[in-house]
Amino acid sequence: MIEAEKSFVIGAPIDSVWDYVRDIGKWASLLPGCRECAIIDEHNSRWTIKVGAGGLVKTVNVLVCVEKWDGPERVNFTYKLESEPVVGGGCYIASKAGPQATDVRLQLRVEGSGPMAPMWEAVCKPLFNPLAGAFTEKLKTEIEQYVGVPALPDADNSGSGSVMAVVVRWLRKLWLAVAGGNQSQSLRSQELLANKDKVMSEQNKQVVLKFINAMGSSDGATAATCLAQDAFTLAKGFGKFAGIRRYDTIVGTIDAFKQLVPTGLRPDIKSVTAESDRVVVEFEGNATTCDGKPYNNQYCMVFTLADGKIKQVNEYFCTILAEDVLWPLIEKMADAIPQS
Amino acid sequence: MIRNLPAKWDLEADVVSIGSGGGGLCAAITAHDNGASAVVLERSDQVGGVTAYSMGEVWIPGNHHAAALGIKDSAESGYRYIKGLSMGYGHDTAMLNQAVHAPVALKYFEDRIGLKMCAIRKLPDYYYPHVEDSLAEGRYLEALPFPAATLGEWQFKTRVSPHVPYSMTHDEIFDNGGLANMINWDFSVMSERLSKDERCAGPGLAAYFVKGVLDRKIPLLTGVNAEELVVDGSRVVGLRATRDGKDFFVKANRGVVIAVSSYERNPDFAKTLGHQLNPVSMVMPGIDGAHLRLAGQAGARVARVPDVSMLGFHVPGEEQEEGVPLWRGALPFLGLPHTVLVNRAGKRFSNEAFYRSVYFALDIIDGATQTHPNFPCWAVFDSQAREKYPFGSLMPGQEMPEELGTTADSIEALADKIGVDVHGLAATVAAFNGYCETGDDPEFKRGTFPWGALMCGDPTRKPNANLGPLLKPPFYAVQLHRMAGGGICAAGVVADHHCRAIGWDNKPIEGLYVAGNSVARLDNGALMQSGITNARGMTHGYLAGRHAAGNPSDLLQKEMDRLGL
Ligand SMILES: Cc1cc2nc3c(=O)[nH]c(=O)nc-3n(C[C@H](O)[C@H](O)[C@H](O)COP(=O)(O)OP(=O)(O)OC[C@H]3O[C@@H](n4cnc5c(N)ncnc54)[C@H](O)[C@@H]3O)c2cc1C
Repeated sequence: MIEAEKSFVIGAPIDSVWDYVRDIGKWASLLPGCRECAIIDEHNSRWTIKVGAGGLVKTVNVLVCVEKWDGPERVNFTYKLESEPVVGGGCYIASKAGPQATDVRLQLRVEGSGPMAPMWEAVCKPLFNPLAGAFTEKLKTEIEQYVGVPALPDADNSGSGSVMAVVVRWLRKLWLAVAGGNQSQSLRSQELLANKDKVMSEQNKQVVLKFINAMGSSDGATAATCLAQDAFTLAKGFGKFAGIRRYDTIVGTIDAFKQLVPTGLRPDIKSVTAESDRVVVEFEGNATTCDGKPYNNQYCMVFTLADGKIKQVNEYFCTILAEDVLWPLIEKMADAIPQS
Repeated sequence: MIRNLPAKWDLEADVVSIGSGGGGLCAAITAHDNGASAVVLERSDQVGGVTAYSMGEVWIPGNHHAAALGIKDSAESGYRYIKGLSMGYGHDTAMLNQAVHAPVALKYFEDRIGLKMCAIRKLPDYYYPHVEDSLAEGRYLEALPFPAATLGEWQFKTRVSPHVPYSMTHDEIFDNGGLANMINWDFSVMSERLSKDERCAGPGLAAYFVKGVLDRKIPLLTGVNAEELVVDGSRVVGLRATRDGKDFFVKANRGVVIAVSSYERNPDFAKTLGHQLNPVSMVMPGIDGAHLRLAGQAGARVARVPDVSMLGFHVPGEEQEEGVPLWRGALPFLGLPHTVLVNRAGKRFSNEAFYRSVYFALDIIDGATQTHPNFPCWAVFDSQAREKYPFGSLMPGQEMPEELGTTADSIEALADKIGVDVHGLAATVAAFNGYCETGDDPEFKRGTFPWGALMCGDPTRKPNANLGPLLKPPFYAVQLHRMAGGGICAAGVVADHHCRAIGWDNKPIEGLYVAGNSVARLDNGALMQSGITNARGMTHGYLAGRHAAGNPSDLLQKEMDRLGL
């Protein structure tokens, strides 16, 4: 059995997400190479998918059965290829991450059966993870568009002629071809994703480190160059600092931070992990506030990037310490900080 | 006298290869390493050609890998083997030329581009042990797995094959029961190779050459379709291609190498040159006879050798690329136990376990009736075959799709359903089942070619790898289509020993070379020994590249002197 799990945050309330997700036809349209989805009844549908593998394009029919529509938190489903001895299943798990944010986890599995099961799994394996990744990436974008979160800037308008922009444009073109069903391209959906991973991770890492350093030295202008127009940070937790901040607020806060913490955060980076569109950084601050108190918080930030820009940051830090040390200062200076 | 020079050239190189298969890539590499500049033009959006579709077997008598294993062989022995089997339809010098240069070209590419090959153990020559100078092993070579990630941006622009299990080496396949016994293969190896994108067989072989070209920074242009030669009087000086719908003129200071494979995707050429009526094909749609159109312009001579048809079928839902159905070769499955190949009369007509016996029988014409008695034809097998063996991409145990084959509970019912003589088929199966008991097929000698036992049979089956009765219902029949040779064809452009194209006056055409399957098969005549076409591509590329770069090989002359010819 091969398994994959993808989790991500959608910048939309859980009920809007559910509104989208409860329609199985929409799921099908997100799967690369899916040509048709015939709804049989509330639980069953038949998807016709063209998959490219091993130098050929194969049309497979997949019977999908949603065993449980348990909205808005959960959907359980199984599937079965009509002509090949391959079965699988998975579940969709959603939870509220904030008033405007939903945590989504997608668990998927695939399994060969019969005497040739090991072969089917060997063939499915390199396809499965990229396909799951492509699917979740699209799911997120589509839902955000559906509920009206500002759309991705078009790579063609991103203006920069950087290598990254070129790579991204190329990837998009391929991606459109895949989704739009040009076969010689859908053939390579897995490959483009694999390649994208490699190219992207390293460049993304550099963008994120630049951002953290800019943040640490309260350099809003530099930080701004790392952010997408529709970027948002999502401070996790339940205290006063929790919640979403968008582009202007992020940049404004970084600039204003100087007044709260004249030393800057002085981040001491402990680890950086980059994988495809995501960079995770663990670091510790070593700062002194404007009233002379130490402020040494510990952070883990999960960055999601697109087109070489930061789109989303999930921030984890000790909100109790932040509230204790920073909140009184912020209250005093509230006017200096742009409202979110 | 043609003079069709363009007003301006878009690209210039000393040597211009048309086609990015073995022949074109090897010519460019060799030309480059002999001091000339080179470029490769490819019409499709992927490089590697049919070479990358192939099983990747390279057949070279007298190669150094066999010598290292202590196998006694020589180029001269290989020459005698080919000459004997060519039935006089080849040219002696062409056969000798291939024999003496193939081992040299092999060594050259191993030394120059990091090509890594090894001998395939246990794979005998087609005609072993039936003719003199045949060997039980050592002449077949294959590439070691190639790490495709090293191709960088060309990784996914370098073709892989829908036809062959390119994540396994021959040795790995043979060690686990051969092609028939996929059920026993070690799929963890396949899984790992697929994940890492390490390519064996033809995709691996082609990738080595692509890497050689990339390492040399030889421009490799895709989407460039060669349309006509540019000739200045009697010398070929370049060509006109089209790129993005516009003319694209490429100047060749020293030579154009045409290595565009055959014409099998051109039904009219297939009929009139290959005598194949409406063949289906395993190769890319772009293999449509460009060499004949191009070289024809410069007056190149065309020659034909006796050629044959293969058989194929289409598994529903499989495409080669959008809108192009994928056709799979049937021959590897016809010699399996519990399987026979029959004609309309329900009669067997060949040794199903030896490709060449099927080929020639298929195309026979009965002059009394002016019909092809053995075409149409059907593969007939029972559920034992279905349980144990693959049939194309239909895996052991997988249900027979209705669009692919007919299923019935008895042989008689099956014959009736497919429109084959009922008594004929029943009698054929009864007789065949009898042969299976004795392990001897007196009619067509199934199982007497060790090559066929390994490649078309179940090598674990005793006493005869190619015999097993049709007993267990349900029974199945798959009607087969006439199929072209997978790039190997009857007719091609005649070339001299430097691979210069030859005119009808038997004089070389200045500035024009041919390589690979574009070259008339006068170096093997009526024979086709698998693995020889990939070897030809490499050898022709080597010879054309050297000559065009001004450093022609003199080995043939030396060998002829030595042999006193
Ligand atoms: C399934 C299969 C298995 C095989 N297995 C073996 C094997 O194990 N051993 C063996 O020796 N042989 C095998 N063969 C045959 C062998 O691989 C090919 O015949 C051989 O590789 C052909 O090489 P080539 O250099 O002639 O050209 P190819 O590799 O066919 O390359 C020709 C290239 O030219 C391009 N082209 C065509 N027209 C134009 C044009 N006008 N302009 C620009 N480009 C053009 C084509 O797109 C193609 O990429 C197999 C074939 C098949 C189909």
